[in-house]
Amino acid sequence: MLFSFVSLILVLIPAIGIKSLGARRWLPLGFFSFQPAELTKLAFVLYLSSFFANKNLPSGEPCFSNKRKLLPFLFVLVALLVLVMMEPDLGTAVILAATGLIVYFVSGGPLLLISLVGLFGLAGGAGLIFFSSYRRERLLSFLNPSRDPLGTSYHIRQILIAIGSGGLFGVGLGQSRQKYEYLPEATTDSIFAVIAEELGFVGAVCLLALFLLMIWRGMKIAKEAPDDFGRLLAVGIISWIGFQALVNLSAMVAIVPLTGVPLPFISYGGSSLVLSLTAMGILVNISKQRIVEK
Amino acid sequence: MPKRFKNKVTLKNCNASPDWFLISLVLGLTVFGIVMVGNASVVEAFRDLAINFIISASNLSGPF
Repeated sequence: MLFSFVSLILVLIPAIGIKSLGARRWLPLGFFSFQPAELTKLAFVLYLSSFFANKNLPSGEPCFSNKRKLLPFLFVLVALLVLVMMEPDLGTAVILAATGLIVYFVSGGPLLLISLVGLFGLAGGAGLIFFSSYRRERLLSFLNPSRDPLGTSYHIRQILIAIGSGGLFGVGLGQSRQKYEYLPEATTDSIFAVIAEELGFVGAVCLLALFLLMIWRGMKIAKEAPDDFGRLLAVGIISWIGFQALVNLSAMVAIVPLTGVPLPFISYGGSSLVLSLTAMGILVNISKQRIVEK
Repeated sequence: MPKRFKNKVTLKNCNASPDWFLISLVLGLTVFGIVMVGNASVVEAFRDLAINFIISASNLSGPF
């Protein structure tokens, strides 16, 4: 966790962090670059699981004084969100906040407090959007995709054209036309648009089904985990992966504004893939220690 | 109701087999992702090469 904080601060230093497409998100490490925000997601889930598991009573019942859990949790969450928003990376901030609140809820946090924190978060997010010109432009493009077809709305329009051209069964593997020059970020954030164009509605639904199956298995592992730490860790990991997939896919079909979040296991990006697979390795380890009813 | 142990994950309970279904899902998605990214990125590389070739061959200047 400490390493995540340090690397998130390092990435903001102009002489160290690499700036690309208006955001400073990468650290140069010789022959490859590293994205500290990806490590932060895993470190945050590990930290929260350990923290909440230790705050519980030995019997497994949640601690009555939720202040003991809520205030330190909020402090760490807000500190991380501030650092991530300075990059800026709204998508990662949303995923961190959502994952943190889910782990807090599963650890026994009351729904009222979570709703209040969520409302404050929404108000803060709305404030950030309206005080930042590029976020405001993105929101307006989201609300009206034909507003500026060659400017701010270009990306979402090309994504929708790609998905629409796919039809029911797609144009065929490798036959996408949108990936030639038209679709920005075809290998990273917009990979789902290429998949939907080449494999069609059926392929896209199959991909969605695979993600849903993964979430179901993750929740099953969490349910059968041998202790609180394992349970919270499994829930945290699967919430992070599931929420990231949800945010990416929602942005692709214009349900939420584009945020620049990669699709787990699919999008190009070394940091994201390595850390997602590490998290899945931990999940498999928890599954090896599950309690099975006889 | 399965019995829960105290907050400590140890290797002592490693009797259950790992979740092979989850492992297959993750590996399947990763291989599919590599195929799709390769599919798109090779195209991008050739596209950039072609654009650079056209620019240098035609010795164009200006908006192109």
